[in-house]
Amino acid sequence: MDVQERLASHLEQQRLQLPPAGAGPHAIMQRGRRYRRNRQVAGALGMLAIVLAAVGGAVLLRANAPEADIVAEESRNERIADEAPGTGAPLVGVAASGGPALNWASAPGVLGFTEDIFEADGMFYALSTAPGVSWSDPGMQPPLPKAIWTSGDGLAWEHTMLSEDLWSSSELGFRSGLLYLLGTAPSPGNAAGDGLETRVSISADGGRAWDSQILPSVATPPEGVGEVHWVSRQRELAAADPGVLVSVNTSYHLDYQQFIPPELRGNMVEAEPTATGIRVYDYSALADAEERCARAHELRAGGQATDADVEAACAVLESPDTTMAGDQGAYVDTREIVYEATWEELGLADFEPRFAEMHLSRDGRAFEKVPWPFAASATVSDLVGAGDGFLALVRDLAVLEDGPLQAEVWRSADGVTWQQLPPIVAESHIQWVGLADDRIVAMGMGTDTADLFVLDAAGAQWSPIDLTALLPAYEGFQENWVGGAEFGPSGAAVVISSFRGRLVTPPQPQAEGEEYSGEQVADGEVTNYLLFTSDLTSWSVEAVNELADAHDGYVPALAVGEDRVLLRYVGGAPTGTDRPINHQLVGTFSG
Amino acid sequence: MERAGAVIDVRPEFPAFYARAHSQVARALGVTLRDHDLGTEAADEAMARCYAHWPTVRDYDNPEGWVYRVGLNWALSLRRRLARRMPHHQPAATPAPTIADPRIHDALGELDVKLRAVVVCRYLLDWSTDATAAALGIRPGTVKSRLHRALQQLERKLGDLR
Repeated sequence: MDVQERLASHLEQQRLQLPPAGAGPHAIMQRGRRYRRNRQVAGALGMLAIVLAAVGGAVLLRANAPEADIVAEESRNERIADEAPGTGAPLVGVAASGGPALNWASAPGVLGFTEDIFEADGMFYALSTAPGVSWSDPGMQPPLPKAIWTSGDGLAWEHTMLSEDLWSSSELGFRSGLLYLLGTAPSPGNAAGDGLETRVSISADGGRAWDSQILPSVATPPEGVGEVHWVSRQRELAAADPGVLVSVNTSYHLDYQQFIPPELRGNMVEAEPTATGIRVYDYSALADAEERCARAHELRAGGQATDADVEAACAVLESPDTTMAGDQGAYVDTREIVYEATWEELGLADFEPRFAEMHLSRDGRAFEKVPWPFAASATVSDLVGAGDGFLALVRDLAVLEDGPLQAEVWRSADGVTWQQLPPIVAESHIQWVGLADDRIVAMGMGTDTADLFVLDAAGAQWSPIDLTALLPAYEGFQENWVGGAEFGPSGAAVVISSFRGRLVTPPQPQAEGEEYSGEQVADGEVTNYLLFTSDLTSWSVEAVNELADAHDGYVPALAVGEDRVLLRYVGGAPTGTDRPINHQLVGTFSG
Repeated sequence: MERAGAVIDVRPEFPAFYARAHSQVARALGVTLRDHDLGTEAADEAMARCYAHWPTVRDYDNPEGWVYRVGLNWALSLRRRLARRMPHHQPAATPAPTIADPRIHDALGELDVKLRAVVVCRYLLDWSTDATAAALGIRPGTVKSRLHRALQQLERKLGDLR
């Protein structure tokens, strides 16, 4: 056994040991929110210092001054108008209060990590972890035991355990009395590498018995090319009047080093896949220079080298060759290409590492493969049934890498023929799309932007509605971020988490190497607001924390039904405890 | 990015990403730092920062790489600060519960932490050269160079022990 094999074997044994138990996702998300608001406070104070210096200290701090909001809003509209193609500046919609009154009821939560939740035919359905299962339990590794949960009122729930081979399911749908589960077959926990096929399971009795079928996919593991290292896959399922639609994006990653010609092999040589085959690079030419440059950067970070030292050490690397985009910025690619071959030249004429597929069932039982309607490099990140058709949120990584944070929205009446809707120009990542009040709507996830985008009836233009304007006024420091959005038959529901605090101390000096001080510089807490509308104009606003008599926390699951909204809320008890409390809240309205 | 035979779903929500990545990154940091408790603390800290930046980090090709680097930088910074404040203090590192190959374990321990980080990314986390380079914020050639040096040193050390 050579040193590489021995090393790999040793590390594999270390890898198989029990995973270390961390603080758990709840505590980590709380800490992350603290960092986010500290960063925001520090940034706001830094900006204030600059402004004060610029005007000779003549400016008074007025947090959230109306004038400032107007200027910011006008500026934002101008920017959107500049960026939006075609028909001119979209108007910023007006969100008004006075939405439907919701009558709330709550119960201790029983749902765990919830992957899908919705209402259909008067019942709530959820795909969630089995009772008592927690992500943070030592030794707990996905896929976790899961169950189908059902409830008539959203407060009292019953569950049916899923068999182990269905734990990999992550999408749940409902149509014409049938439940649909989408997952892999068998469980990806089976490390044999054969859990690669996509399976739809159908239940006619609310999740107790399932009939499963493997989708007629051609995204099969490549044969005769050695071990598949890993597989990435995005799966989505949507049910609507025209049928049940499934999208699957699959990429296989192989051991590409096996294709390096023997005479070229060495520690400084590596093969990488291209769109059509492989390319082999030799890194040895300038690796020592790179090492000296990297070392100089590290010394400068530690105060032991100057900018001039770095410039001198890195000068040889600055020849205008091919640049690569790393997360440290563009840098010169110093690799030398020593070999290239197409799959055909390698004797793998039919080899295909990437697949993008759609499968449609018109009768809700038998699925057939339908043509992929988007760019070959695109991934469907959300697929929803929208009454008499489908909506898809499509991300094309090739576009994402070079352009703004855009997501394409497409719609289809039959699951086969698709039409791209106008691009959304957003300051946040568009994460949710759906149908509310018979209009197509989309919502982004971001910080200090909470715009709901509404497509006009002609399908030509998106108008953003600024939902932060609906939040109660506050004179101190605040930061808002969108925690979730759902669209359903009765309207649109959006959760905005708002940190509000009093500025009590200046930010602490940051310790070396720390991104944030970690000190509490603002005195306050998070309030989670549920914003609901049935007509996209009048909104009701509820402080979820007050409904549950809890503090801080977050809303990990949200569903909009025919005449009610359900949310799962995890918050701390008012008396203060480290243990988060799980709540289920149902708001029912009439009219 | 995961090990052989694994299937992953891309662009998960944070709790799912935490469930998938935390133990993997914590273990990798424990091996890199030679201290499993510190590795777990570093993974927690990096995960919190990841959540603070989640709308951006979730779109990275390898968000685990971002978490690994932030955790590693945090832990090394912590050690430097402790060393300055308590120059004669040697913190008691907590090793892995069991050590599969003590000689490899010892030889790895003698590597500079920068070399060990590359070894961990390539052999424990099974990341490509480019993914390792992006995770550590260095160029791909530097990854190859450090890996080459690490393997040479390991071979030399294991040869001495034969």
